[in-house]
Amino acid sequence: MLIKLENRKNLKGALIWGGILSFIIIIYLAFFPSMASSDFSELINSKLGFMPEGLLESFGLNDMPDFGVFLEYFCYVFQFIIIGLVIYGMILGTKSIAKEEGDKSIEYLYSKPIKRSQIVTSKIISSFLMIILVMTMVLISSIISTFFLNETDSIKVIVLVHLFNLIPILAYWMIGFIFSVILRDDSKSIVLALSFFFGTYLIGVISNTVDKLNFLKYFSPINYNPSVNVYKFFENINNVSLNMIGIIICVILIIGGTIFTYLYYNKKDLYC
Amino acid sequence: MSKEVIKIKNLSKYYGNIMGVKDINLTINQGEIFGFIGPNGAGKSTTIRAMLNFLFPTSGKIEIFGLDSVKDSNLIKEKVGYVPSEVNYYDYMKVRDLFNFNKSLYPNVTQKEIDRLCKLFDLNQNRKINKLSFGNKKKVAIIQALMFNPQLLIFDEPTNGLDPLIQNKLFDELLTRQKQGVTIFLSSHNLREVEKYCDRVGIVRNGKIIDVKKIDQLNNKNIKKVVIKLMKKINLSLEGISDLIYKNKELSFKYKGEISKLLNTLSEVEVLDVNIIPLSLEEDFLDYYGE
Repeated sequence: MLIKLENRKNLKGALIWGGILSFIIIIYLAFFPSMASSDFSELINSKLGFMPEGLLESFGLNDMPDFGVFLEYFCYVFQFIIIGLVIYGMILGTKSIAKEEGDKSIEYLYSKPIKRSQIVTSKIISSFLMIILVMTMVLISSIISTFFLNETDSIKVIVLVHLFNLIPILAYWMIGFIFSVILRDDSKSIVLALSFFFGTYLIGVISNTVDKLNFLKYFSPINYNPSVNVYKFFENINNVSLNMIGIIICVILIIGGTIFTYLYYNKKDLYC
Repeated sequence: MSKEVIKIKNLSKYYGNIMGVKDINLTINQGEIFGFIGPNGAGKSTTIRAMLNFLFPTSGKIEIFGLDSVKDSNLIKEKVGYVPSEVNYYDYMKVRDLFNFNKSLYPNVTQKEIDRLCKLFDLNQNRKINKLSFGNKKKVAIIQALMFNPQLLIFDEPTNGLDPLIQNKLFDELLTRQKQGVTIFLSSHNLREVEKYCDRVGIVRNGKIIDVKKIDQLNNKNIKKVVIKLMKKINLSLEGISDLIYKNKELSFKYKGEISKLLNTLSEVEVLDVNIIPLSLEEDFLDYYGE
């Protein structure tokens, strides 16, 4: 019943985010036939050739994406969708507990025979389901696009790229939960979520651009395994490997963040 | 001996270095209506929130139904109906949705009882919560707190926003439940309702309980407030007179003693008008509110 309550609160936002991101990917993929034309590919490749290598690396474009290959084009486009999904997940996490304290509706739940851990569980499950819902909407849109573009052979990789990217999304989502459980209300939650995400994103870009700062890449979960690497890894192209340390860091963030959220919330004073 | 429902022992709560309440000791028995009064920021809400484990005590202990307010919070809340001073629910919900959710949290809540309470307090269940007035939101809070027949009611400013008719209905309902053994903890700024309905009253100020009194044993029951309109100023000397003020040809004072003696004294002076009224709890307790 508590999860139902959470779902009802979150559903509208999820459908809006899912709708917008699906629309963006459909529009982008609809340009693939034009992008795949030899003239355009040459133009893009020559333009990208002028960009610093580090910057290209930060976008996973160091191998120069071949826009004539559907999956390379898809992974390029999907970078931006992932940014959207991470921002959605992070805002969802950051607002999850803090919003209810800001709205003071938490006072109602606290006065009921509901354990605090049940409140956290319902929020974690509900927001996880919302992320899956948004991701599924994007995935379905990507798959439908492949039918129109006669690229149905790519569906398996597209599904794998979607699933793999759940790891950094969930890491940011759980960092959002940590913020949410510490905050007393949600007045600063969106600013905090966006600042944190773009801060880490920028750190990732800098770490790829400046060799001496390469160690900073571990502070940027979104840059651990760019989609293009995931695709090439699963397709055994150029012996590309996955950044396993990055995956482990994300898993630690997800598990550690969950434990922290439960422990902190069970001892938290309600200031409403 | 009456069964103790609430037992607060040496409760202190600090927010960092700031004191919320200090060394609160209070025992409330089954079937009592206990008034909890004091100025804003005195510590009333902190005490209530500690009772419901919204807050963790810095030191001390609270037992409700003999259960620990921190460890057994869930068991306690199965028997406690709470009405907050500020009502905040999920705005997108209809009243009916909230009641259905509330119903799912307790065994044996019947729709018949919900409908009875809605009829009693004149509340439309099909309205969206965000469209309700402050008073109607308060009715939602009262009904959700009463629908599962709790054994303890903790009400924080329950009549704030309610019209007088609904206020009367609320107290009729509370008195009926009191007869069934329900204990009521009533935090209020409305001193008249505390005086009218409570058995005992606790006064909290600056985070401490400064007095706990039985309403029917209050000194003020024998004290009258006397206001006399005069032609000219007089010197009134009579045992039992206190707080004497002369202003605008009006003499006001408190009097504790035989009324006949007062009337005899007044018959000797030139008086235009006399008003003798029992001193209310409100006037008595306003002393506690002031500096």
